[in-house]
Amino acid sequence: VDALFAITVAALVGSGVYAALQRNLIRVSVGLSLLLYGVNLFVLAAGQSRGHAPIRPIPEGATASDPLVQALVLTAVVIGAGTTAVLVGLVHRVFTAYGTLDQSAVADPKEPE
Amino acid sequence: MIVAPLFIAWIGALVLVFFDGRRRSVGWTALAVLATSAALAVRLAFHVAAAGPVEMTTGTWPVGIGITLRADPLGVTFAVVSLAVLAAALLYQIAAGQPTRRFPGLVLFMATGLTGVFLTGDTFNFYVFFEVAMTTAFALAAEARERREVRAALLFVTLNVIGSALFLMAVGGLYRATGSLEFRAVAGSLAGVDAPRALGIGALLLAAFGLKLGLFPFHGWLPEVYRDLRPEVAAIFSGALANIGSYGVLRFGGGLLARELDDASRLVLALGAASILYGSVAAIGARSANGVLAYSSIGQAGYVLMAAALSSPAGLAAAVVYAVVLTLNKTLLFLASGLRGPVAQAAFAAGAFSLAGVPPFAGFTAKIAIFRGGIDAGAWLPVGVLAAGSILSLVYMFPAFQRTYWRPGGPGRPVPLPAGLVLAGLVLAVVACGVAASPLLAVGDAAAAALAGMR
Repeated sequence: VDALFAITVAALVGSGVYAALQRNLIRVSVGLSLLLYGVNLFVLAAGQSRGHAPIRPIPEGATASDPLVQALVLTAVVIGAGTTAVLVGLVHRVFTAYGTLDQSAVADPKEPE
Repeated sequence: MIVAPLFIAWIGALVLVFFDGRRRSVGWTALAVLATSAALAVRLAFHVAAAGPVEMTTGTWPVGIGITLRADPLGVTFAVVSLAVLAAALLYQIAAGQPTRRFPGLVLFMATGLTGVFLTGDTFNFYVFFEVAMTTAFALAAEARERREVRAALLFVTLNVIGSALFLMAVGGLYRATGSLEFRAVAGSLAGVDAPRALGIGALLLAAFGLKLGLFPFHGWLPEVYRDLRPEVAAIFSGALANIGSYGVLRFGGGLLARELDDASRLVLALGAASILYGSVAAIGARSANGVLAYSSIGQAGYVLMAAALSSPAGLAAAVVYAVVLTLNKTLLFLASGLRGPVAQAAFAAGAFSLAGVPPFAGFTAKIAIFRGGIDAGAWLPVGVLAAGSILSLVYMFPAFQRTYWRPGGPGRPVPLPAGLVLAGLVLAVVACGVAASPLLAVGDAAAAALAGMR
């Protein structure tokens, strides 16, 4: 199961980083949220035990999944949603200021005196 | 007692964010809330200095289950300094800056996040407050008027989201390796964790905090962001928000992962040296005063990292002293760079001399502390790099001063009285830390001792 988690996290983070390197800002936003989801899955996989859902009653002799990481990821998902909202808002601001979502059109290396 | 500074700023933020920050009364109310919060933090600091660290567990849970809040000398020092910087930037904005709708409320959210980061004793809680501060910073950056500000905000947000993701990964890794989130329990269990795993977590943490602090090679976002934002926002980012980076390097590198930092000390010293040299040389090439300050931030961050990587008590103490002085210098310089006239000129000159480490300014105290740490550790190469960086900072700060203030017909904006008082207060603090250095050095020693006590 660890290998499955590792492959999924790698796929999410990898495609997230790939999308974040695109020129279109919508793709960048999607890429960054994929990255955040990949990290959330990573934290979920970092639990100390794996087994039944950690809800009473837990069957006799069975191990329950570590509930702590689930609580952490719940918090992280909320934070990630907030961050994504701010990012999308900013992308909209870029669109109103520059009239385009192409990152290379936004780039302006000139330094003001 | 430990919750009070945090709670007051939070409540103030929740209320004030709904009011129009362009009205003077909202700004002054926010300043009053911030001043109260800062006063409570100072009281907490004196209590910690007299009676030792204060600790509490939320919700009356037993220790190890509830979230731990903990105020030790390192944390309260950073909390007090950051709140003071935020208050200075807020007063400056009310007097001389661009009024924007959400600024006062956002500054209070920033105060909440930063105080929380510095007063928590739990890795995940650290992440949560870290995100409160970061999201606020995103919103502050996004309150942009000009196009270049919008661009700076975009660059800042995209790269710092990645930094936050790296830190969350490190928290997950630490929990997996140690089975705990509480700082001291983590530090205790790390002794039994095999070295490659711990070093991997350390590398994630270094990347995350290096990104916040703008260390080479994680500095890509910093120059344009600091250069193009409004002076008060640049002052908040470099003077208050960047403290998360210094504090993180010290708390995690100097405290929790001290053994790993020691193992990797050559690599970390090399990164610090690269930051100093790159930042200083690039600052010489920058044209505007803000551009120079931005690149110099990269170099200055390198000093903190190098001092911490000496991994001796004297080195850690020097890193704390340097981080505090750096905060004061950067706030002073960014705020002064937004204004013209003799008062701003004198303030900028004081900041520039302090940055270069000329007595009797605070920078001198900080540089001497680092040199002492380096010589005690017998690390001659780092001492050489530090000396070269100090000379270079004089080389780049003087032209920046010339170009900003000696050019005829520059944009003349007289300094309003409250803004002048902010600058005067900061200059006074910089001179005081240079002339009477012993309290600052004692704070550094106490913080280093607190870090050593974590292991």
